[in-house]
Amino acid sequence: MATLEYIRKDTAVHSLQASSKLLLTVASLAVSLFALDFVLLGAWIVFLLAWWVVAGIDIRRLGIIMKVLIGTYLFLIILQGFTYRFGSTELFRLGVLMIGPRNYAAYTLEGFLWGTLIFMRVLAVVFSLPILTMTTPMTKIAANMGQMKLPYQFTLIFVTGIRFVPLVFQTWNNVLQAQKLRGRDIDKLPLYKKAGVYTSVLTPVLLYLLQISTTLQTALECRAFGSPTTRTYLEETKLRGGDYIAQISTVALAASVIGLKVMGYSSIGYVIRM
Amino acid sequence: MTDVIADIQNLTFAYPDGVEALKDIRLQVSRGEIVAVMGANGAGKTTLCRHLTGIIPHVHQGTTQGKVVVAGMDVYEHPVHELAQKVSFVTQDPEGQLVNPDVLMEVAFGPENLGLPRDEIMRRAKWALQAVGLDGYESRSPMELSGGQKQRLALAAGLSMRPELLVLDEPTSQLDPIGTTEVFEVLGDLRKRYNMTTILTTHAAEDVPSFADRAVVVSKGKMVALGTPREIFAQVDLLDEVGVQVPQLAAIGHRIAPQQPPPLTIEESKKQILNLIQEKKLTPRKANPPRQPMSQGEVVLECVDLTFNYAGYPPVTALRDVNLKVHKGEMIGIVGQNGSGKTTLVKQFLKLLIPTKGKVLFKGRDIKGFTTGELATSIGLVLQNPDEQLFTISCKDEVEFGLRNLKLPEDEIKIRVDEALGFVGLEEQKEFFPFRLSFGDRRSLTVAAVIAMRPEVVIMDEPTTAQDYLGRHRIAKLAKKLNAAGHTVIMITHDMNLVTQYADRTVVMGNGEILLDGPTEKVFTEVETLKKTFIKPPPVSLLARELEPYGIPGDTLTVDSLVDSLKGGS
Repeated sequence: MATLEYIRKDTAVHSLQASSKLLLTVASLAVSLFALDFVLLGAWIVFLLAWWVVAGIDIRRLGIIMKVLIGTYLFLIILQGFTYRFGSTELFRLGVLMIGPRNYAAYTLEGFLWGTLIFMRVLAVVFSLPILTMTTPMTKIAANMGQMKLPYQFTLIFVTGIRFVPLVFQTWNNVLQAQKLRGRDIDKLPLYKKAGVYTSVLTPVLLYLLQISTTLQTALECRAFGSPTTRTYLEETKLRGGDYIAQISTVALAASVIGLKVMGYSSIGYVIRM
Repeated sequence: MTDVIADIQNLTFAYPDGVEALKDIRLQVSRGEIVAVMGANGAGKTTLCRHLTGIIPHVHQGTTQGKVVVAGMDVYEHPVHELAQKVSFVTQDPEGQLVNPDVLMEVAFGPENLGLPRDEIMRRAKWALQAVGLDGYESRSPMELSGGQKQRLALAAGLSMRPELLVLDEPTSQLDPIGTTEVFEVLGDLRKRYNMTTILTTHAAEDVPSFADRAVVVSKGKMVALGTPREIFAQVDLLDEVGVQVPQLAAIGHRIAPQQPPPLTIEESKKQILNLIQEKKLTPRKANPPRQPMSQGEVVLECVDLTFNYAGYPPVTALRDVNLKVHKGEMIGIVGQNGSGKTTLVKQFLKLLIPTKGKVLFKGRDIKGFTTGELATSIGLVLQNPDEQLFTISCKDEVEFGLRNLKLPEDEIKIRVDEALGFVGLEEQKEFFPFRLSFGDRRSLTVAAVIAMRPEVVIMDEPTTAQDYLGRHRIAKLAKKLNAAGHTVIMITHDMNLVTQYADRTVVMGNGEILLDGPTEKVFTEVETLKKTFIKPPPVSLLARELEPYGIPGDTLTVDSLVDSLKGGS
């Protein structure tokens, strides 16, 4: 989670309103859905990485994200390599498993490329998230959600949800620590035994969080949460010049790549068919 | 006619499990009053607070008789958010109360919900943060704060609502001594400036006379005493019976002149004692009997130039070049302001945190080569929050857990479980689910689980937080008993009465450094250095220093020794 937490810096991206970065996230989602193409998705990913550079996000975090997602990529290329229905260029085969005209034991180039493309689609969304969460304090996100006329209950659930994530991790670590302090050498346990340890950690974590959530409810109510009065937002949400530039460039590029796709552009259309 | 802001009429309340938490409580609080509610853990203090804020019946339900009217509103007829515009409630657990991503937002949250103008919100937020000593922390995440700082923040969040009635449930349980006094001063300031009324529950008996107009004592759900602090603290026998601490000065007064009203300030106490000396009713002894010398045995733990930074932007330095030697058989108290590095220091001993610079040695060997699990067999650490340290389905299993990791034979495990549970007085609750125990007993269980492993060194991190008077002394006596049984004991605490009574050596920390280290009686004479880290000596120590010119030993630290020295020649 530390990969996505807000880091205070003085960059052009940090000074933008949350709405500009929320727009980028939404645009990334749209591009990943409607511009399924190596070049188009690649261009979008490069665009996002340019944001990373301007935002001063440590590029080494890419490695952390890739480490987390590598399992997904392997799964996708293995699954698609053997099962992609338009696969015809066989790279290797593990045997013969004929179901209809298709040999499902044969690994195809088209399946590999299709799996890679789906993975790029995932990256196009995932790479946009740190730009929002690592450069925008949650207060600004909440204020922008308020400005968008989302019900405040929804915003609060979102914000407290985010707030609870580190608390869950912290409690989890504390309980693990407590077990280590009673001589359980978790670091030296084999993986299958570690799984057992994690199960025993879950109960106290849940009990503790349950207890905290009751306190939280009390605290919220006592601070007039749910009051029918129109709420004031401390954060300024007015757009500035930088926001207009960011929003226009985001919309323009997203519209361009989606438009190209809609008009039939395909970088390797002969291989990949929808 | 007095303007009554809180009117509790014949209130009786039982939780759904049938436990009767309040019995026929009758109390009227006038606008501008500060009322302290005192009582042992489980006496009904929190339940009373919940009624005053509408949390009962709107969040927690139960069976109620009687009526509670606050700021003209019957709490049964008005929702909490409506009551919240007049009444603010700060609960004792800060962790669950902080919902916002930064300190400023946390304090602004309530006023924002009230729909106040932005500049007013900012004014209130700044004032509230200044009042609790957190100005400058506006952009910090609440998660980065220490336990005591979180408690200050929760209090600031309540203050910023600028309510007519402020209800605080043990608001200073995790604060350092001067921090505690400052919070109480803020309450006085609020009354003066805004005529704000405060009702608060507290175990900080020493401070009650300085801030409270009246005190209420509750026991087993009943109100057993109500009056001014002087009237309350005159009833020493009653307070002893219901487990409420008597301030040291009042306790001394009761011991030397029980028929007189209890002194509540150093000046009053000094005057009383000097009068009694003049009347030849007391004859001071010149010097205290020699205290047990500090152990100079084998060094079991040693820190060499220990520095530790918490990662962050920028990193926070929590320890700076700390050098410390712990000898076998010592009983050490570690004290210091919130965030001074106490917990960070003891976590290094078990590799829960890895030094940024320097090293830790256990019996002369660098701990770098050991795992936490291995170190834990020799060094037992009981952390602050018991609820994060209990993970089995019975008290017996909880104690067995560590013993099984030591791979002890079954008969040895059985002996040690019985012994450890007996040591903390939980032998009857052997089969209980740990979360069914009271908070104090849960903490004792975590101690039992650690001591069953018979570590050479036992470290207790704030074992007395949120404990009542009896609970605090029970834990401290337990630590002393362990020490007498040959364990080296290190105790982190904000309770100076306990440190002065039980620790032979005291280490004072401030801003990640060791400011003082030496025999307890010597350390507590360094009043100015202590002040730097928000520590103040207990009243008996300050009184002894005032009386030094009149023949009382100035290094006296406990009520017993002061009374002994006063009666030395009688």
